[in-house]
Amino acid sequence: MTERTIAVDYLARVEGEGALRARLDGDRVEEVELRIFEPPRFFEALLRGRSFEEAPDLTARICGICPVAYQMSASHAMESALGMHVTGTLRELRRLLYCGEWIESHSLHIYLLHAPDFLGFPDAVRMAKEFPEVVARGLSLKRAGNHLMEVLGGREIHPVNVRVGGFYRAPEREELEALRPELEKALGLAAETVRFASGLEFPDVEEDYEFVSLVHPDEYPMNEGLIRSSRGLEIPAARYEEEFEELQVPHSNALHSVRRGGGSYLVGPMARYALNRTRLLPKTRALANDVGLEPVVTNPARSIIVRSLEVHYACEEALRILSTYRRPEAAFVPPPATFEGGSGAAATEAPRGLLYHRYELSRERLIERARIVAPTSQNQKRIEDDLRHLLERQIRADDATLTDACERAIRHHDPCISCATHFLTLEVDRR
Amino acid sequence: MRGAPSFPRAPLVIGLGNERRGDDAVGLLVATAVRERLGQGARVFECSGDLTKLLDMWADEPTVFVVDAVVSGSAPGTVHVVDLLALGEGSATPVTSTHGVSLSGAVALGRALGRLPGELFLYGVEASQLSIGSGVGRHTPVAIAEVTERLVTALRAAEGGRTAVGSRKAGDA
Repeated sequence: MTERTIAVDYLARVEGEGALRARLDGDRVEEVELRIFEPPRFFEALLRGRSFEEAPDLTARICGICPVAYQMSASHAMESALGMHVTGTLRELRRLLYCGEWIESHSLHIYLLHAPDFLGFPDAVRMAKEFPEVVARGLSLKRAGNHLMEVLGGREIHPVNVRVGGFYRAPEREELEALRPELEKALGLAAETVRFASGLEFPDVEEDYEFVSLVHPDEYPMNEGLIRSSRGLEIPAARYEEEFEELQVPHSNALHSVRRGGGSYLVGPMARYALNRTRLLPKTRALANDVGLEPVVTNPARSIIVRSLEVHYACEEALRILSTYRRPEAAFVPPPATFEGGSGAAATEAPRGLLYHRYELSRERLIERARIVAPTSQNQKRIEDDLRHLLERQIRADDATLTDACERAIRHHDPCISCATHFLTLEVDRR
Repeated sequence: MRGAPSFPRAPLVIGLGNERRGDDAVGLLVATAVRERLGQGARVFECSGDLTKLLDMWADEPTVFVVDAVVSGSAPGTVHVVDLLALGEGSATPVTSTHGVSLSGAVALGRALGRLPGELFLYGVEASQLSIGSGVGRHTPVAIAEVTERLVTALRAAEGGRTAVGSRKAGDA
């Protein structure tokens, strides 16, 4: 067999602009490059000189589907720098807002982007003609997440109610209670989603992932916890840069994250689930058992089940928070009166995985340096590893088959290229 | 293009767009202007970001006017009136991104799910600048005034139980 190149010039059903190029030499995969050509966005640079208070709203603009994640990581990192602690009801409200984002983002990916691959359709519109009830269920779930974001965040896209220390305004109990009927319905739809996803047909694939996510002793992680790896690492966010590094690669405008002295790793729902399964709430844990979901999912195609389970968890968690909510006297913890300058780091769990922020602040509380590591840049090298293994398994397949398989493999991880550049066109080069 | 629509009950006006991206704000600006002319009771709404919620907004409505910026190559400020239900399935752009469903994607999804209004017209204003923070183009205010006037006329006609609004072919200025 001669050398050949497989190329996808523009990846469909992912966020942002990217391509894939693979060079094959006979039965050998020589090179796999996930090319992210969406231009760099320089957020870290434009944050310099800005007030610490601006970071949550400025960084939220990095992503239209996970703005809450940016607001949360930025707020926690600033609070770490300033020595602030947000507890009690305000902490619960943060989790509630994150529930809205997980429901919204995951539902969109499950139903509009990922499910068509399993049911044999090129896109959700054509899938909707054959399976209108499936797509309608996805839209209903997504709407429940949107409403939660709107009530608590002020609006559903780029919410405006988050500030360092808490919120600009805490909702009245009645405002949140009004969401209960829709969230209860969503919990049922989410259970149907888990059963639907569990009934799909999956390719027989296993990957040896190093999973990385937050872990927390009392809860499925969203805002707080230690960073743990399935291979033994456990560190606070302040030590993230000691253990993980970002590397520039010529073929991508997004940096590649690796373990220092090691290789790729995976963040996101599969990692969270593998490291926190026992901290799921009772109904969600029972559902996972009912559908026979393995304790550690290593087949990337089955991520759709894990993502569905996290939607169910987010609905159950949101209802739990609603049941005890009393409007706090203050909507935020004020920053300290004096500050001598310093730095702070934090990681929270965006729908797509660990999102790390670190800031250095002057005495005037202006940002002197910012560092943001998004989930997709952390997963980028791991996605390339998945693709290499896929090509090795199917190397004798024709280019069209390989191209289709590669695009699906990428969508398993729900990459957000806009975040990573701050996705895909496949090119296969066979020689 | 179909003939002038009739109004069994008040039509809905939905302005689409992003207030911070130049001419993309045109739908929101028209919505504001129509509301100022007709009062808070007018059935005028804005929709930014996630357009899947259009399916909930317009399902079961007899007549809906959507206002948005368009890029077709016509002169900046050109007002296009397009009967979206007459375009057919082939014109739909597939849903391709995690961040958004386009207007044509929302129409296609609505068609597949049986969630479309009885009549659905797009008032599109040809955009000349869409970059962040650029403000609207110099031809856009005239187009906003024209679309506003036409929608106000249509809504008043509906209120009076009459039939109104001319519908021009796409591309007519």
